[in-house]
Amino acid sequence: MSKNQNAENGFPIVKLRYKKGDLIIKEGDYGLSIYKILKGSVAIFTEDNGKEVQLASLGPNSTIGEMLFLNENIERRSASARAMEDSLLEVWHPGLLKQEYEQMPPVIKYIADQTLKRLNGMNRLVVKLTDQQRKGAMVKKEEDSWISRRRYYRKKVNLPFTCSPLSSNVKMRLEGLIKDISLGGAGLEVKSLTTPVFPYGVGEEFLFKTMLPNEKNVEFECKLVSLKEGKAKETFIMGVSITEISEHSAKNLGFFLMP
Amino acid sequence: MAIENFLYTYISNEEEYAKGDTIIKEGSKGDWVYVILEGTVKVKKMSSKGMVTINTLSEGEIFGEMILWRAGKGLRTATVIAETDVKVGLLDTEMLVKEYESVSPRLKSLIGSLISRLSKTTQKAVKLAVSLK
Repeated sequence: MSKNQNAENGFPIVKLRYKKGDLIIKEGDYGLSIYKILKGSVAIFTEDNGKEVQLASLGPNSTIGEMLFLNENIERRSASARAMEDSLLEVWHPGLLKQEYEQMPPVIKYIADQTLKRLNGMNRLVVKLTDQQRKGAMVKKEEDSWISRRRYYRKKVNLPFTCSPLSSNVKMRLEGLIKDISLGGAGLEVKSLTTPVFPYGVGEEFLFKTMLPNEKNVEFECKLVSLKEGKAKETFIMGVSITEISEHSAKNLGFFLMP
Repeated sequence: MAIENFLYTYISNEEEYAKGDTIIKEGSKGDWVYVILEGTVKVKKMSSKGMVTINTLSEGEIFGEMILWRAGKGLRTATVIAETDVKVGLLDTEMLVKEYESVSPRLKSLIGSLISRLSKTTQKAVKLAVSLK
């Protein structure tokens, strides 16, 4: 590490050179400086159960160490930073930015705060997922266990349903009859489409609604997993897998499915 | 979270969405930045294995703000779906952009860095989530 110093408003602006592998910031340390990468690249990482989890790899023009400056609720460095190659960084004294920060419009501060909060949340998620990946945990999300879910008892029925797309540009609501239903998914016959081509593809997500014969409502989010043409003209048979269901709906459906 | 008073200066319109409605579609064009006035929304990203939920936002929280920093080259970087019936305020993007322009270059580079890290980290989280599926 070598220094090269300048000053602005009495605050020093220092340029530091780091060799590949040098630690720039250490997680848990006290420190207030903000760094801007001028040359080189820097890896941000955190430690989880004694293992390093890389959160980001940053290049020129990125800043590091800004978390403490932007969030007065934290006191120590929330992650470490290491030079991945020989790098040149400009170091800003927080006092240099403080005045500028106070003059920042509240609405921009507000949005920046939320961005910071989301970045922290996403960092935690990356740590958690990396941990799961390392453990090789088979933390399959419910929504992808369609095949195993098929083990559930499937009841043959003839009940009307509606399906509204959750995330498509196409806003067409689907209606028809449930042919069979289980706690894992359902086979649905869609009819009276106003378009000749089925408007959705496998993977599309829907909000499914039906009323059981006992007048209890069942509602869940589901994913289209299979699609074929029905026997009757202009009908389609779609297989959906339940991705999210409330306790209440699951209970209603569970009672209905009891043999 | 209550709605901060200063936000009302920027709200040029209000919209209501029913549970399940798509408010923003990833990859589409759009200029509005939203603040949630009532209800909750889910933020989802497309992946090779369907949609992955990356966040749930509630009252007072902003979404669609990536458009301000041009993080997605003018395209929406995530899908936002109403988890409940939702009321949102539409913030005047031009006014926000002007406010952002008044920010000092150093802070701009700091905010810009946060944004790009959020984008990168989100992509990383989605990739990990997909690999675990």
